[in-house]
Amino acid sequence: MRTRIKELRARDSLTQEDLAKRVGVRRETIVFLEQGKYNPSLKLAYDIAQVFHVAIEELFLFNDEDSVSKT
Amino acid sequence: MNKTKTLTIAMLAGAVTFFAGFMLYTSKAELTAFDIGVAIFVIFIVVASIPIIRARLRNEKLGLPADDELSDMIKQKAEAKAFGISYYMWAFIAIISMNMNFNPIVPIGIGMFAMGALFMGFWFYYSRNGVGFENKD
Repeated sequence: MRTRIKELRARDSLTQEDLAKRVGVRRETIVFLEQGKYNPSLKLAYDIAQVFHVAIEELFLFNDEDSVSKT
Repeated sequence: MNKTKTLTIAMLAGAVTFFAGFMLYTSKAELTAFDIGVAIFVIFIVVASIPIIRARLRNEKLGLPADDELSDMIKQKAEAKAFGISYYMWAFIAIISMNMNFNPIVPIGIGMFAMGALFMGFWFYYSRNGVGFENKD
């Protein structure tokens, strides 16, 4: 999975600190999210998507192997 | 609330260092290698906690939370790993203790400090490397 957080942050001229303040997390959490080192909770993913006015699936891009169905 | 918690951690770390140093300084008995090991461990913990306390204070100064879902997850994962590995460690300590004539406080003390060291080691590891996709299922 990769994220478009960095790209959307640049689009909206937001710093990591600004985004962290808007969604109520530490700046380190935003750094980890951008580096793909952390898989956020649904609540945090939703809050970040709200900040950028995009859908969650536009923010987090899944590879085929990430979304293997277990049915 | 968060600032109070951070200051409490800092004061606790300072108090532990002060009392450990005071006890060593006033001790009439000759210091053993174990006493020196404990002192080094306490100093290591306090020194290691300085950057953590600084990061918390910096976040609080910027109006950001000191704890969030990632820091909670890192803590939980480090605790879980340290607890799991400590089973093997306690078994090892028990076997060693049965074969040697130790004062019972020594293996218990070593085990407690080792559990703390394991937790700190895992906490630093996950704080640097992240927790990956642990919650994907």
